[in-house]
Parts: sequence; C-alpha cells; structure tokens
Amino acid sequence: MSASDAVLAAAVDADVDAFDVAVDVEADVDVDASVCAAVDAQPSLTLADHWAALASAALLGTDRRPAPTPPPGALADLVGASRPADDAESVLVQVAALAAARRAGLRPAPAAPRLASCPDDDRPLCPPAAGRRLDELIEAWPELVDEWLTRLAAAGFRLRPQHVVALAIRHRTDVARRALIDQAAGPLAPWLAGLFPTQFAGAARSRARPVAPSNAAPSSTAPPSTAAAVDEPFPLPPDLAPLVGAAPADVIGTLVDGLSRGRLANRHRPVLVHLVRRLDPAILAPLAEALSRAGTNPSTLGLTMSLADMARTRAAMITELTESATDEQNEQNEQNGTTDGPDAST
Amino acid sequence: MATSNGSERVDEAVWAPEHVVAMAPDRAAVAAARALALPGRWSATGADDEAVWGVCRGSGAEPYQVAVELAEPAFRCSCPSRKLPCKHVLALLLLWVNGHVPALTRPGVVANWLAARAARAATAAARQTTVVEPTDAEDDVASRRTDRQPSTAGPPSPAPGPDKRALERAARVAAGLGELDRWVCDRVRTGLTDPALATYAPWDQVAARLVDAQAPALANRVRRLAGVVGTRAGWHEHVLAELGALHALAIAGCHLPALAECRPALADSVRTAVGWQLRQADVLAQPPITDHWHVVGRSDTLEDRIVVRRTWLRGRSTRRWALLLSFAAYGQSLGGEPEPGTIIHADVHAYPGAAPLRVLLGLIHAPATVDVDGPPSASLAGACDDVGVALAAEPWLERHPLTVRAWPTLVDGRWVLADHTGSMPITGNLDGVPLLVACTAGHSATISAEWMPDGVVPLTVHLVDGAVDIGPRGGWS
Repeated sequence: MSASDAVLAAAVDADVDAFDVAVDVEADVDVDASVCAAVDAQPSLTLADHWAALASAALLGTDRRPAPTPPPGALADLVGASRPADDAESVLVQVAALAAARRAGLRPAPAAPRLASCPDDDRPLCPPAAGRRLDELIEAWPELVDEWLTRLAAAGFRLRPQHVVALAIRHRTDVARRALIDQAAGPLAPWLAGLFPTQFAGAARSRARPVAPSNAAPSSTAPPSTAAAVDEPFPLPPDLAPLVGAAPADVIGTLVDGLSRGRLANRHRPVLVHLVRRLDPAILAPLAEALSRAGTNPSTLGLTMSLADMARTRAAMITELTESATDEQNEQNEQNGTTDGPDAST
Repeated sequence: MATSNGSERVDEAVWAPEHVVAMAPDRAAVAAARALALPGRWSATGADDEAVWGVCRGSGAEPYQVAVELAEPAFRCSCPSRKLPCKHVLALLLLWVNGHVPALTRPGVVANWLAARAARAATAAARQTTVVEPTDAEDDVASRRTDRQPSTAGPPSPAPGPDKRALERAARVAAGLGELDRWVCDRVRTGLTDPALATYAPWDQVAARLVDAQAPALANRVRRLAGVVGTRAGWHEHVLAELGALHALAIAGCHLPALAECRPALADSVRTAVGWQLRQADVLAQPPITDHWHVVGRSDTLEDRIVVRRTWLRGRSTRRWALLLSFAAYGQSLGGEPEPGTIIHADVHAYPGAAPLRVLLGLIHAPATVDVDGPPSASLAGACDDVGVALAAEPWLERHPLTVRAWPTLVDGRWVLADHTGSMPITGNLDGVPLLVACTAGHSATISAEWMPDGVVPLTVHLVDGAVDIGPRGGWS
C-alpha cells in the first residue's frame, strides 16, 4: 500500500473516523517501518510522554482526568479532523493512531551479548533412527529408556538436545536416572541446569555445580560400564528365574506355552516385562516372532502382543545403536573432526 | 557445516511413524495402537498409492474392517469407537510405515469406499459455490462455543435472496459494532482501574453480544483481553492499545461501504478482522499462488475448548508469508497440516485483505518433503521492517511470522533473541525456551517465531540436521 492511498482513505471519510486517523498517521510516516521509527524517535520524548499521558487518563477514566491535548503535528491535525464527541473518544482516537504507529515503527531493543557458551562435546550426535527410537521408547516402553541411554553412551554418541531437555525435566528428581542422562548428554546438561535452575530443579540437590568452565574435561566422555547402574535385580518367581540364562528355545517355549494356556496372565505383566528387559539380546527377535504368532488365547492376547512388541523394540534398539557405532567408527577413520549442531557463523 | 546426519534426511519417507503418532487424538490411542500394530493381529492387509486397508482381530467376535485414504487422510473403521482416528486406524498405519503391509490391488470394498468418497467430494465442491461453508474460519471458534442464540449461529436459511441477507447481516453487524464502541468509550470514561474489569463477566457479555451480531472474530479478541487484565506489569497499556484497535475497527466496520469504494483491500481486511464469513469457494476462486512453501512453524492456542493451530508458510521464490488455520474441538486430532521443517510444492489461495496472510491450500503439486536448505532468514532489524510494513497495512494485526538468524540470551533475567542489530523479548509461556537454548547451545541459529505486540514467541529452530518444533501447544493465548 502506498502513502497516497492512505491519505485518500482519510480524505474520503474524514469525519469522526478514528480508523482513518490511524491510517493517516502511518501515511504521515510514509508506511515504511524504518521511517516510522525515525519519526517516532525524533520528537520521541513528546510522543512517548504523550502515550504515558493517554495511558494515565485511561487508567483513571476521562470522567476524572481530561484527555491530554496532542502535541502539535500529525496527531493533533488528525484529532482535529476527526472531531471526537467527548474526551473518551479523543483518547481512543489518539490511542488507536499512536499505538498503530508505534507498533509499525517497531525496532529491536539494544543488542545483547551471547550466553557463556556450552563447552564442546566432541562425540557425534545420536543418529536420527536411534533418536526416533528413543521417542518411541519414552512413549511406549519407558522400561527400556535406561538401557538405551547406557548403550548410547557406550557407543560413543551424545543425546540430541531435545532429548536432553525432555528427559532431564521429566526425571529431575530421580538421581540415578539423572546420572545416566547426564552421561549421555555431556556438558550440555550442567550448562542447561545452570541456566534453568527451576526447570531442572531436582538436579540442584544432587549436583549443584555451576556452568562448567570450558577447559574442564567433560567427565561424560569416559567409557561407561555396559551394565546399567539402575538395573538392580528384580525378583522373578522361581519358575521363571532360570529363564534369564536359559537356552533360547526353552525361553520361547515356556513363554509361548504359558501365555497361550493362560498360566501366565495379566497379573504377571510386571514380571514378564522385567524378564524381557533382562533377556539375552540374541533371543529377542525369535521371541517376538513366536509371540506375535501365538496370540490365540483371547484372555492373554493383549499381553502376548504387548510383550512381542517390547521384544521387537528392544532388539531393534540394540541393533541400531550397535550398527551406528560401527558406521560411525568407519566414518571417523575416513574424515576426522566434523562438528554438529547449529553452525556458529554469522 | 554439512554433516553425515544432514544428508540422511533426504531419504526419509513422507510418512514416518511420528506422522502417524501426530494424528492420534490422544496418547492413550497411540499406546493402544502400538499394541495392535503387529502382523499377527492383522489379516488381508494391503496398500496402494492411495489407500491402506486391513482386517484387525479385536477383543470382540467380529473382526474390524479398517481402511485409510492417504491423501486427505480419511479413515474408516467398523469399530464402535468415537475417537477419530481410532486405535485400529493408527495401528494399521503404524504397520504400514514399518513395512509390514504388502503392495496389492485394492479389494472391492475399499474401491467402493474410495469411489463414494470421491463422488461426495465432487458434490460438495459443486454445492460450495452456492452455500456458505459453515465450518470455516476463525469466526467459527466463537460461534461454536456460544450457543446463546442458535438461530443466528446455525446454518443460514435459504429463503431470502443473497442481497437481502447480506443487507440484514450488515445492519446486524453495524448495530453490534455500535454497541461495542459505546462500551469501549465507557471503559475509557470510567477508567481501566474499574474493579469489574478484573472479572470475566463484563468481557464475556460484550463478546456474547458480538457473536449474536455476527462479529465473532471481534468477540474472540474481546475475550482474549479479559485474560490480560491485571496479569502482568504494563497490562493496562496493552488493554488500552487493544481498546484503541477495537474502537478503530468498530468505526471502520460501520463505514464499510464508503471504505470499500476507495480502498477495497483494506475493507476486506476490516471484514476479516470483524469476522465476516467468507465462502471457501470464493477464496479458492482467488488466483493461485504457486510456490515451494517452507513450513516454518506452528503454534497452537487453546481458545475455550477449541484448539486453534496456526501453520506458517514462507514462499521460496515469492518470499510471501502465508498462514494456514485449522481448528479442532477438544479430544479431536488436528493433523493433516504439513509439519514444520518440511517444504511443500503447492498452490495457495489468499483471503483478500491489505496484508493478506491467511490462505487455503489449493492444488498440491508435490507432497511435503524434508526442507533440506531451510527457510531464508533475516536480521532482527530486517524482520522488524517486515512486520512493520504488514502492521502499517493492517494496524490491528496480532501476530506475524519471522525467521531470523539470532541467538537466545538473557538480559536482566529476561530471555530475548539477539543479533548484531539488536534484541527482541521472548514472550508467551516460555515453556519452549529451555529447548531453544539447548538446541542452539548459545550460538546463533535460524529461528522462526511469531511476532506479538509484547515480544516474539519462538516456534522452530532450523538446525542443519533437521527442524525442532518448539512452538506452543495449547493452554495459553
């Protein structure tokens, strides 16, 4: 739109038309935002003061405080042209015009320095497929998140920032799990905790460190032990306990048989979930396959399918992290020193 | 800057598990669908370019017949669930995206269903040219939630001719705007410290009156103000500026014929701001704007029990901004809109106006794919100019998109976006800020945000290996 358009609009319906007043003020400042700002800046003291006067009149009410007279210039001309019926309308006409001009003349506030930046983490970012798997685990199989985190760190990857935030906030009071998360997150975790003490509150008690200085060696790059620290033994009933180390065929046979005969039922769910969590990874794929074909008993169908999904998910997650780690090593041999995340060039 | 991770994204399928999850009406449905998304539970599954189908063994005696039309997407399931889509539909889609559904020729039942849908769509399109589309615009949010006068909120009666109806409506709107203006003037007369203003009742009353007068967009605007009174320092300046805008819109709305004569585009903007319903067919009749549209961000706000989703687009060659609006009642899924971080080759048709932002999606030339290059970015000062030009054309604008290259930082304990040209405060509920800071690690990054009068709301961080959606998800406005 051009300035002449706006002036025309104001002229056509000039009587008592606050809207045109608004448009016309912009016309005066030529609709271009930067010019708007310049006009606002030059007699800025008077216009800013005038805005304050309008605000205080409106706050107390024009019954008690009359409308301020606009400073000479565009605004005064336009208020004159619109002939407001009373003080309230005069305030509104001026507010409409001035608010529009101020918003259209929007400028950034003074520049601000960057945050003390997060110490570098030279581990590669978690591969996309594994990242999607973690989203799935958080949603469907939180029981497997700890193992995933341990394996991720063992494979030499770091968590994606969105997962660092989601997990650290969710488990902020869980000290053991926070240790796992922080290990996979690297220096990002303490850096964020320093910036957002409230959101990451639980961490403050167990680990009230400030933002780590950038030259400190990130402790998280130390190779983690493969055994999950939080995976303390969970009592399995005597008839199931031997299964943890048993031959694949026995494990699969016992589970499929128990579920299809209804000997294992929903009341065993926590125990069975824990068992699948602890089974030798090599058994998982055939177990999933056998379970997903075994669902013939309607009373245990849901549980059977659910366990099949868990076994399949755990197998896939282990494969992904193992294969990615191998790929990554090959790639590292070819080209060294790629960094990830947002590039810092401006 | 290009990494091994960056190149992997190109190979991703258009449908990924997260798209299926995004369609779900709630988390429970996803959990239920996962348990069902196993080959053992399904028979007679198949898929072609347009549809996926299958039969699911459920807890009941009868298995459920499930079919999904992919383009829309549209769903059909013989189960009694009222969730849309139900867990069976989601499970079938999960099965499909995981590669467990074979490509087959569609069976007769599915073919018939697709044909019936196509026929219905054709009839609807034909009808749209004559009948006002009832569930369309932002206006509808207001009319759906206020059932005070079903006679005016219901579908228009076909009896009087369109001219007569338009005149009647204009008169009703003008009366409502007159009342609004008197009320606004009275507020300034008695003062904003009036304790009654700190309660919702007076605002709701005015809003309800505006809905009756068929000015629902203004009604929403008034309702939003009710939530601002007394909530933060400087609220009265915000309310005052809004009262000024309401005053201007009320008067402009009463003088529409005169305005339409000299500045038709501006008159259209006023009509939209007031809440004049526009037929979808009329919008779709506008000349198409064809471009590759970067999907730069998404923000959901909860207005009463309706989720309003804004999906912001940026044309790759036109450099135009565009807004897709969608609505869902509580418990229904939104879904269907392109995801932030993708790019879609499509026609859009703009609602008329002086600073036209809102569009309808027309013909889709190529479905959304991962946006490898990301949207173009500006400096903060450049973005301010952009927003300023739009505001000069439509001074009552409440939101405008921007994509900047900036870093998040703290100024006196408040979060801002900053670059070499200055800084802008971050506003809204700040839930997305930890994620924004984590994704940028304090460095500068390409960030899309929504400008609002009191600051910017970050929506998306465009990283080299993918976009991270950090936009608000309902619950505040």
